Amino acid sequence: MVLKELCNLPGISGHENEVRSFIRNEISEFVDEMKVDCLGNLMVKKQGHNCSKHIMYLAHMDEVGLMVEKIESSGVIKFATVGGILPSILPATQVKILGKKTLQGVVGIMPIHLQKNGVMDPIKMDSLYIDVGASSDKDLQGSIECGDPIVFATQYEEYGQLLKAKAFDDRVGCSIMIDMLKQNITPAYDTWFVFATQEEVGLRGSATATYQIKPDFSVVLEGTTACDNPLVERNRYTTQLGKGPAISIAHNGFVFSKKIFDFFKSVAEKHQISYQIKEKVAGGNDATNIGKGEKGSYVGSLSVPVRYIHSPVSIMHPDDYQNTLQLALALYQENQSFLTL
Amino acid sequence: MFDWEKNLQQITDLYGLSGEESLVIQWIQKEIAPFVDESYTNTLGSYVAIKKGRGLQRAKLMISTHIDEIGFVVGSILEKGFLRVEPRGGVDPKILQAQECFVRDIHGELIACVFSTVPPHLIKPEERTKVPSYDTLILDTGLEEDVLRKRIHVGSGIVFKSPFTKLLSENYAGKTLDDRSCAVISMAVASELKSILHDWDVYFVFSSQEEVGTKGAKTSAWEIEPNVAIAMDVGFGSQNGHEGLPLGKGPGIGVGPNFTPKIVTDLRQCAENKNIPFTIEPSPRPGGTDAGSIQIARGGIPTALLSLPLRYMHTPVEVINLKDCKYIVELLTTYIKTLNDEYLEELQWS
Repeated sequence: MVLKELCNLPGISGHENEVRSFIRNEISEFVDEMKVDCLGNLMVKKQGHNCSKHIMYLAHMDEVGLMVEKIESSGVIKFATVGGILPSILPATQVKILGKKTLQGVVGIMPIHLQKNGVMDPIKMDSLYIDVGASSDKDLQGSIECGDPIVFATQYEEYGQLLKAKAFDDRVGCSIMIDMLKQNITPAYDTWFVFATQEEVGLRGSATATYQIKPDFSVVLEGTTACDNPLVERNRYTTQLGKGPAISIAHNGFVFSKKIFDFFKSVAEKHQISYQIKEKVAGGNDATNIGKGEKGSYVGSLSVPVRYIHSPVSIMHPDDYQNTLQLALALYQENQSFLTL
Repeated sequence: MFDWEKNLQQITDLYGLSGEESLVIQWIQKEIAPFVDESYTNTLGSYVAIKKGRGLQRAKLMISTHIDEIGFVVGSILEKGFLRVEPRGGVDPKILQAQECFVRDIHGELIACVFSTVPPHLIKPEERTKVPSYDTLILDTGLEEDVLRKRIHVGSGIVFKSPFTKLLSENYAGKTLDDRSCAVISMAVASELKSILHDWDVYFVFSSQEEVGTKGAKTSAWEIEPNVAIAMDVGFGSQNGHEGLPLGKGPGIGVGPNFTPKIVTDLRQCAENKNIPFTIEPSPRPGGTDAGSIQIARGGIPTALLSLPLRYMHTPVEVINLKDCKYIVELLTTYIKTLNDEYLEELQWS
C-alpha cells in the first residue's frame, strides 16, 4: 500500500504532476500500455483474454486546495479555493505554497482578544490570507507568483486504529488501483485503469478519459463523506467508518443502474466482504460523467468512507481500505458475468 | 553558541497546559542548569532559577515568563472515541474545525486527535453562517471508546498539535510561542550572564497558570519579593488588519499605570545607548500579563513589561521573529549590568 506516499504528495486540480509521476513509477512494470492524455489523465491498460469489451477503473489524483490569487504589497498572500472548501476550516492552519520555491505559510486570523464586535461573526473567505513571513511583496519575487498551487501541510499518520492525512479523497482510490495492478491479474476483457485529473473542479478528467476509452463497464473508486459523529443527526451520517466500502445508489442528478447495484452487492456477498450502502445523496463524482458520457454506459461507484473530507485533516479506517480493495478485485475478476448477462 | 532554533522547537513541542507545566520545567531545568547557581519549583508549579550577583545587598531582579499554554480539558467521553471538551484559557472556537490536538493520557502519552467538521457536501445553510461553539465542536481520537476510557478521564488535558515551522526572514510559526519563546529568551539571558559581572541576583521565574489569570507569577513574586521585576510576554504584533508591534523591530516596552516609570525610562535608555530598536506600547490599564499581578504582590513591586511581537495570538500558528528575541537578550543584559546598590535608592519616589 502506497497510501502514505500518495497523500503526502501535493496535487491540486490541474497540478497533479507529482502524483502522476509517482504512480507511473509504481505501476509501469505491471501494465501493457500507458499514456497520458491532453488533460493529464494517466491511462494504463491491462490486456484481457478478450478485447471485445472495454472495462474502466477510475480514481482521481487531484485534491482540494488553494491557489495564489494576489500578492499584496505587504507580502500577505490572498488566495482562491480550488474545489469545495469551507472558510471555517482554514484559519490557523499550516500550508505549503509550491512556486519556484516551496514556501511554508500559515493562514492568518485576528487574535480573539482583538476581534471587538466580530467574535460572533463567521469566518469569511475574503478575510483570509496566508503569511509566509515576508515583509513585502519584494521578498517574494522569484519564489512565488499568482496561480501557484497551495496545499495543506498535513502529514500522514496513524490515529489510534484509524489513518489520518490530507487528500484521502481520492488518493485512497489511486492507492487501491495501484494495489490491484500489482496483483498482475490478466482480466477477462481489456481493462483500463485511469488516474484522472480535475475531479474536484467539475469532473473534467473523467470526461475526456471516457471519450477515449468508451467503456462498457466502469467502476469509480472514491473517498466519500462519512459524517458518523455523535453530534450529527443519524440521517446525515451518509457512511460510517469500519463498515466496508460504500455502494452508491444515486448522485445529485444521476441514478445508478439497479443492475449495477445488485451486481456489486451480489459479488460482495458471494465473497463475504462487508459493505454498506451510501445512505444519502450528497454530491457526486466521476461516475456521473462516465455513465452519461457518449451513448451512456454501465458504471458503479465504490467508496471508502472518509471523515472530514475537503479539510486539512481527513480520517479513514484501514479495514475499509482492505475491504474496498477486496471488493474491487472481486469485481475485476467477475465482471464478465455481468457483461454477459 | 545559543541554539535558538533547537530550543524554540523543543520547548514549544512540550505538553504544558495551564496547571500542568512539569514537563516544560524538567526541560528548562536541564538546559538552564549550567548557567544558574540554584533553582527550585514552588507550590503553584512555577520554576525559579537563580543566578547570583556579586553585590553585598543581595538585591533581586525577577524576570518572569510563563510556560503554560492554552488548550482544553476533556468534558466527557462519547461513543466511537469522540470527546466533548471545554477550553482552558482564551481559545477562539472559530479556528478549531479540522484543527489537530493531543490529549494526554494517564501514562503521559499523547493521543493525536482532530476537531470534527461537517464537509461542504453535507453542511446545512444555517451551519455555514453560525459560529461553532463547544456544543458542536468535538474531538475525534480514532480510538475505541472502551480503550479510550482506560487511558483518559474527565479533566484530561488537551493542547494544540502544530509543528514548529520556519518561515521567511527569521520568522517562525508554531503553537505556544506565547510565551515559551520568552522562556527561551530568559535562558539566553542566563547563558550571557555566565560571562558578565553583575551585582544583583537574577531570579528567572518560569511561571505557571498565566493563561488562567497570572497565578504562578503572583505567588512567585510574593515568595521572592524582588526589588525589581520585569515580565516578558508576547504582545500583539502588526498583522493584516491590525497595527501593532512590528515584527523584527525590537520589543515593545510597556508604558502605563502597571509599569514603574523609572524602570521604563532606564530600559529605554539602555535600548537607545545600544541602538536596540523598540516600540513604546501604551497600556492604559493593567493588562493580562504577569506584570499585572507582580506589581501588587506584597506591598508592591517596581515592575516593567517587555513584549515580544507576535502575530495570531492564541492560535496554533503564532508567529514571532528571531531578531526580536535577540534584541531583548541584549536589552536585558545591558539593563542588568546597570543594576547596583545605588539603584535601590534611586527606585524610591521623589
